Amino acid sequence: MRAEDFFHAEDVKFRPILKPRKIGSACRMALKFKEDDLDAAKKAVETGKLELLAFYRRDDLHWIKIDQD
Amino acid sequence: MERAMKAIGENPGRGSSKGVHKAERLIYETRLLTAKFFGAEDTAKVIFTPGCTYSLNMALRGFLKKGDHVISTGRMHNALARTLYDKRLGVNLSTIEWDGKTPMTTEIFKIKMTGNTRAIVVNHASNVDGLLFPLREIGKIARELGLILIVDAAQTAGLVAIDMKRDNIGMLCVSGHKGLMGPSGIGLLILAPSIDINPLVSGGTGSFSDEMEMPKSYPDRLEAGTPNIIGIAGLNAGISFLQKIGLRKIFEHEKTLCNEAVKGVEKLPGVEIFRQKSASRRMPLFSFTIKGCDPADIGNYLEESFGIASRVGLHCAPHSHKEIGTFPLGLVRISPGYFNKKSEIKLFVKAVTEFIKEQKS
Repeated sequence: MRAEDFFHAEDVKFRPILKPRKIGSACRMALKFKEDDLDAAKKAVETGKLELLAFYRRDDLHWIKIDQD
Repeated sequence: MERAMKAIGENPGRGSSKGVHKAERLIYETRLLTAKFFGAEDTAKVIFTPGCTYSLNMALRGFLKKGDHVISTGRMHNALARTLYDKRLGVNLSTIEWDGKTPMTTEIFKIKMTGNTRAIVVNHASNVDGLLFPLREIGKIARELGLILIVDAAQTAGLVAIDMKRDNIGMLCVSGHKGLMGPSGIGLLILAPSIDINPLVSGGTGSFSDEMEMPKSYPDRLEAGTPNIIGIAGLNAGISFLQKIGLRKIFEHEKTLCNEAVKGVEKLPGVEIFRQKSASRRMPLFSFTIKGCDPADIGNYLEESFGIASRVGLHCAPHSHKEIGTFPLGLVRISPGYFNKKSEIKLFVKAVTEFIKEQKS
């Protein structure tokens, strides 16, 4: 919920989705957004001090972890 | 609930005004209703709790002590599992495996017993594949072995008839918001007359206020603080509704929808269904996956494209998934309710069909 607020504040358009199971077995939610908004999303994470698992990019059926720097 | 919210503004057991009396009358009548519904012999031992998880914690932490041993099954929900594995509780645990077909015998439990075994603790049904444990048989076994039977009936109360006396249940833990059709935030812990447990929570009860120990008498002993009066009103309405419609009718409706859903998707390419083969040993729910697909993708698609809500993942029951071989990816669970219609099942079948088509393209 906090993440949503900070994403809104950075004007990142997103959709809450189930976290892909292939990324890990822990049951969590994820926010899906366009890669164009990645910088704004990173800023939202930093501003909100959000507990981030990671950013991932979809590549066909796989999820590739994105470097957070 | 709305009526209770508007008409009852006073705290039961804390006065003698008309408002207090109304609250007390509602609570008392709901205890009577619930006791009759579950075959409980002592109305005073029908305890209102915030939910089944809380009830299980009260039951286990109030009854067991360090070094005790309990026997459970491989289908524990985390409400049971996390409590039993909690080092602070300090109990030892053995589990039985059951395939849903083999007769449930005393020997299955007896070989797991130690000198410190005090209880059999079971989920009445699995929330992953609907496996329904034979409660009456397990109750007989518990009686034969001199053990207390503690039941997590979150998945079955309101769908399957449970009779505490007939089934020899020592402690019954129930959710208000599932089969009992009440609101979330209310549950039940019902004790057999001979059972006495320590309270998990201490506080004001409106009785024996000069004493610093929680009262010995029930229900006060286990009901500290202000009760969830609105939740109790909702529970009362839910159980009354069930009694009006009949458990069998509700179960049969859900079973029909579930069977149609399974029939509609089981032959689709890549679909793998997880539910008990034996119709007499299963609840009306099932889980599934599609080969090569992430269950989260399936769940997201059902919701985003067709507005169908499902539960994806491990269902707070990792042990169940380990037992059926679907850990760690988990599954998509579908559990039709009494108010679902056949047209919605058809939509579900269409949704899965379309998902598979899209994956292929």
